[in-house]
Amino acid sequence: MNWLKYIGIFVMLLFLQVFLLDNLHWLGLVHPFIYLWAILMLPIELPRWLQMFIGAAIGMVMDLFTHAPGIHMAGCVMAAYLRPLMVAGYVQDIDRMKGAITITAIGMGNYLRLLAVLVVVHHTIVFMLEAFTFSHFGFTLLQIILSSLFSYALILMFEYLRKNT
Amino acid sequence: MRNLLQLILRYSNFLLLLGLEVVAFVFVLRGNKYQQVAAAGAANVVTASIQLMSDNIASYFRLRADNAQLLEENARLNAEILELLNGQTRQRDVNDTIMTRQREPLSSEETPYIRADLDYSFIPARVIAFSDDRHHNYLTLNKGARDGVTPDMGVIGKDGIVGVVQSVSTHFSVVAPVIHEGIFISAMIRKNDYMATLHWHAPNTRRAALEDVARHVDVQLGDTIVTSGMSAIFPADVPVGIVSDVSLGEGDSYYDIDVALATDFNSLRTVHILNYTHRAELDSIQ
Repeated sequence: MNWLKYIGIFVMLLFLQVFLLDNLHWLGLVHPFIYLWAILMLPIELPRWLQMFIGAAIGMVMDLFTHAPGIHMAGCVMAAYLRPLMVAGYVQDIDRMKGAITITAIGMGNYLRLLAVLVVVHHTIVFMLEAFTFSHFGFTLLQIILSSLFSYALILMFEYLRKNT
Repeated sequence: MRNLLQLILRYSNFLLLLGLEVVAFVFVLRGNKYQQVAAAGAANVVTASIQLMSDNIASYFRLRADNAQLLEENARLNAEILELLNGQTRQRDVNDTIMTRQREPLSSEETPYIRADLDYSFIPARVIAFSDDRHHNYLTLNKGARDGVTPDMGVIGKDGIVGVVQSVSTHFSVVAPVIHEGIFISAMIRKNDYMATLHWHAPNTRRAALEDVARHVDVQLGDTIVTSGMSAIFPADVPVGIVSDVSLGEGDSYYDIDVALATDFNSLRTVHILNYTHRAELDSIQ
C-alpha cells in the first residue's frame, strides 16, 4: 500500500468520524471511534518508533477536532505501541511481514483478538482521560463498554467490505 | 556505562511510549484549564471550517425545527418591542437606581430578560458544532474576532444562559457552555436575591447543581434561578433554570439543590454573544 492511498483512507475515516460519528450523541453514551482503523492499517514493516510517532500524529489530528488536546494522542500512541507487540505473537517472523494488518494477513481469529484489545485499550484511555475523575466511574465504564462495542462492529464491517472489494 | 546504554537501547520503544504518553498527559492537564484552544490557533480555523461545512449540510435536515425556533424568537421579540413602546423599561430603571429592585412577574414571556441591561450589545451567531456527551463540552459558533467576539464574553440563547466564550479565531469562536465541569456561574435565587454558584456535573445535560446555599435561606421547588450580574460577563436576571430538587441533610449547613437548566443544549441552534460596552473601563479600575 502506498502512502498516498493510506493518507486517502485516513482522510476518509476522519471525515466519517467528524461528520457523522461525532454528531450522533446517542444518549450521551455511545461515541464510536472508527479512525482507529487507520492505526491497524499502518505498514507493519515501519520501525516501531515511527509507528508510535504516526499514532501520536493521528491522535493529535483528532484532538484538534474535539478541542481537548492530548486525549486521543494518549490512546493512539498506546494502540500503536501494542499493535506490533501483539502481531509478533501471531506470526512466525514479523520481521519479514509487510503492509497493513488485515484479516488476510494474520487470520480471522487473530484479527478479532487484536482489534478487541486495541479498541478496548484505546477507548478506556480516551474516556478515562476525558472524564479525568473516578467520581462517575459507572457512567464512564458504560461509555467505554458501549462505545467499544460499536467501534468494534463498525471497524470489522469496514474491514470486511475492504477485503471483499 | 555500556550496560546502561544497552539497557536503554533494549527498552527504547517502551521508553518512547512513556515519553509520548507523558507529553499527551501534559497536553491533557494544560487543556483542562480550558483556556487551551488558543494553542490550537491556526488549526482551529481549519477544523472549524470543516465543522461549518458539516453543519451546512446537516442544517438542511433540521430546517423545520429551526424555523419553529426562529418564529418563536420572532414572536418574543415582537412582544418585547410592544412592551418597550409602552415605556415600561423606564419605570424599571428608576426602580433600580433607588435600590428597591422591585421584581416584575416571574413569567419570562411577559418580562423578556434581554432588555434588562442596555449596557450590552448583542452579536447573533449560529451553533455549528457542539458536544454534550463529555465532561468538558463545547460549542463552536460561526462568529469570531472579525465580528468583534473576544474571550470571556457571555453567550445566551432564547431560553437563557448558554456559556462563556473561551477562544476565538478570525471567523469562529469556541464556547465553554454551562455543561462544562470547569465553568462556575454566579447565580442568584430570583425571589430573594440570594447569591450562589451554579456548577454542572456529567452526565445529565438538563440538570446542574446550585452550590453554597446556606440552610437559613428560603428556597423552594420551582424557584427561578437567574444570573447575579456580579460580573461583566452576564447582566443580572438572565434565566438559568428552575429549582427541581431541594434536600437538606440533618447536620448539613448547605442545601443540595438541583436546577433544571433553562437551555436545552441539544436543540440549541442560534445564540447571542453579549458584548459589555464598558468592559475596558471596568477592567481598568478593577
